[in-house]
Amino acid sequence: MEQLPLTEPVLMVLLSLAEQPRHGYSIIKDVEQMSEGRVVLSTGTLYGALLRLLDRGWIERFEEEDASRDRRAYRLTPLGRRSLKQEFERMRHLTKLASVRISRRKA
Amino acid sequence: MTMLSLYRFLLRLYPGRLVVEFGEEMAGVLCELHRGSRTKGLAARWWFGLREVTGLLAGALREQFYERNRNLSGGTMRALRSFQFPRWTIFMMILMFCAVNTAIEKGRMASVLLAGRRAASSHWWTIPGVFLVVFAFLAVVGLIGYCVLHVFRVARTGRG
Repeated sequence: MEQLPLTEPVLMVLLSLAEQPRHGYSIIKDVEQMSEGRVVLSTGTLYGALLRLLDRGWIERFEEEDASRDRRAYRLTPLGRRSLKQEFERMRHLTKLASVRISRRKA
Repeated sequence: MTMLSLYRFLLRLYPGRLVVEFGEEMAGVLCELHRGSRTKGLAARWWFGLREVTGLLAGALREQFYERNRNLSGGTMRALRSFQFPRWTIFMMILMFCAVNTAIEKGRMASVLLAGRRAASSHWWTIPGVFLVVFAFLAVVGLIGYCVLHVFRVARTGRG
């Protein structure tokens, strides 16, 4: 897939939405918590990533009943979930390869 | 100007589509984050403000490039991505520059001799200086051009 590999902020946003639909503020806080404070998204970075993911069809707006215009939620689409799994498989393969190569070097 | 007014001002730098789509939402998130940062220490508040301002500025620049890329046709974009500055033109430019400088210098010397006056000291010493300035200028222009192309490529791949 052309868009892979994903950058860390995009990957974190997708992981945050993989669990449940979230709105912007909740995504920023969840990413900060997931990465133990290592990745702190600025609002500009988050919405740039959200726009790109919406354009690709990886996420969609999730209509909440009591949602106002300045507090809208997003969720993963089936395409987004598939892409995330593909990226995860790619990373798993890389990790496996790296551990084999590194252990071979030590031996 | 309060921080929130500054954030709202910076949001105006984003492309129209993004402001319409996310403007109010971004302002709302910024307000929430700003409220949350008030409970922290001064250093944390400063760090938060700095991160948001630089994030908004960088984001505005990135989104403007992204929007412009979206509007370019596929052929134009392919040509832009595959463009490479031909290196031999740099050599040709230097050669032409030397030739023009030599011609000017020769002409000046000849005019001084024909006028029956003693030739003034040559100005050849100025040429290395001119070379240096021209090279510096070309390097800066090249660097800016490279940065613009790089941003175009990054925005086109759309990796957030």
